[in-house]
Amino acid sequence: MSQTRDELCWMTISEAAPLIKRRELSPVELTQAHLDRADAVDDRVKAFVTRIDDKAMAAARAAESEIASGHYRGPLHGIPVSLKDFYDTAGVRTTAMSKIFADRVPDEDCTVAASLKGAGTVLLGKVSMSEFGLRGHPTSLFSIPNNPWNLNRSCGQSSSGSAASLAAGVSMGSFGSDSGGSLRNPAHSVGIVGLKPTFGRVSRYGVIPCSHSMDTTGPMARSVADIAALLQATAGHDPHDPYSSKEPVPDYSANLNDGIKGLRIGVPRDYFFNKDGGADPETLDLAEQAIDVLEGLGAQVKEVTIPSVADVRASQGVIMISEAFAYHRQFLRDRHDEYGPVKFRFMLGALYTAEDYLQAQLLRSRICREVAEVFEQVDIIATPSMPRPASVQGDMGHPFSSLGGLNFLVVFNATGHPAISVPCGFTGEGMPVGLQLAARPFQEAALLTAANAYQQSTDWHTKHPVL
Amino acid sequence: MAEHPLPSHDELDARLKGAGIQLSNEELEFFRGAYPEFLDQLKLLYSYDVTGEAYPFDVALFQEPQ
Repeated sequence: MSQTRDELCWMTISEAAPLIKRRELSPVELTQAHLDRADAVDDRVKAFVTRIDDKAMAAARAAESEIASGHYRGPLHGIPVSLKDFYDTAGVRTTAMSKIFADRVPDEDCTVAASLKGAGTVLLGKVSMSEFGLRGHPTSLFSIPNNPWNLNRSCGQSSSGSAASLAAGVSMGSFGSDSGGSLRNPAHSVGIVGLKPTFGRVSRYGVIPCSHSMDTTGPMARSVADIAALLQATAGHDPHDPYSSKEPVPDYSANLNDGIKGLRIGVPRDYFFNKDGGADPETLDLAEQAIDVLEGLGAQVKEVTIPSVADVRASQGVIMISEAFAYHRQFLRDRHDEYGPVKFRFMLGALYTAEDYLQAQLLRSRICREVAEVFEQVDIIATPSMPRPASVQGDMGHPFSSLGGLNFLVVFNATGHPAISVPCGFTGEGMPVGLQLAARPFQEAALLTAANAYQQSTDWHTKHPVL
Repeated sequence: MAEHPLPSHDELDARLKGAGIQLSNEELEFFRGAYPEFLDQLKLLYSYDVTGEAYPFDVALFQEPQ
């Protein structure tokens, strides 16, 4: 082996996979390198909640043995990954970062974990998150992760550990979940790639719910090509998930390098690029520069409008909290002392009426129609991922401060469209920010082609923090 | 559209109690801090004149493949 430990840990999946296939890179060495790096840096980053070093090394040895005997399973075989502590893993504690589930050890893998296992990945452990998937206040169990680019900054919410594990080089791929931006926000905050697939594209079976009509599971990685590989292994119909789609699964890597000449990109500047609307101007400028890069690659950029987008939070928030309350109701009655401050947000769900919930769904329907109309004119919608870079750690505001305010992500939770955040630069303070691209339902392949074209023309995703 | 009547703070307290959630006086006082934003959110929600049946997604989104 010629690579140093850190060189191994900064490889992408698509760089490591051919080496593993040719037996020029050992899954055992690759896994050990990640565990060693986690030993060295995770006391500061705090990405992991539960490490399973022995099981990981056993899986790596099994992968190595299989490959040596000619049974190579594909591009994820022997690749070390992590999973948000929302995903049930057989025999491995799954806590949702709450005392409510502090000792919960599932008997069965969730569908995503089973699919990743079937693809030959090596699970390193479970990674941190905001308690039960809502805004990152102190949880009732464990601490929340620190941003590898600046340990005094947050990793965003709620798939923070997944993002931190990738930005810190202690895993090569991860899965987060996204009901209100929860994997794109952390991807933006730490400078990695996060894909919220179309609602129904990837199974949620065995993932602790937040909002049943918006919960979406999706991959996180350091490159778009890696996202394609992780999506390929997990997309498809699952009869255990009532919202799972039977839409056929295409080859997500086949057209990654097709380029974007003639692609029609819509930019809703009136809301997403309004410098008087409270967003950080530097963050908006970086996203605007990224759109210029896409135009330079041959895309046709035009301005579009989503009339009700500014108020989508009123709809999405009522729906998400009402549905979350339905899951948490009994715990909130009997064991609310075991929650962190997030319990107060769940309790808001007790205040909404059926009329409020349906009014929110009607507004959601209107926004769905508006976004569908935009997609009659363009192939992709481009926006900044977030209005500003990651906040100072602990500066999360009041638990209720997120009821309103500027939010660039939730519109695609309300509509179910696929959306990706790709790194598009750094602020003057050295914090990464992301560009959000969204596509029509089940057009993840087109989305990945556009994101990959951007990534092939820039080097933001190749930069790593010094830890 | 006629303005939608909004619940009073006392009514919101009653809804929480009706859901079977018992908070200490101190926690209830903290929770009540959310009411102004909660009511603003409802006001915004009902400022939209939306009627009919709620289809959360484009109908074509979940059609079975042909």
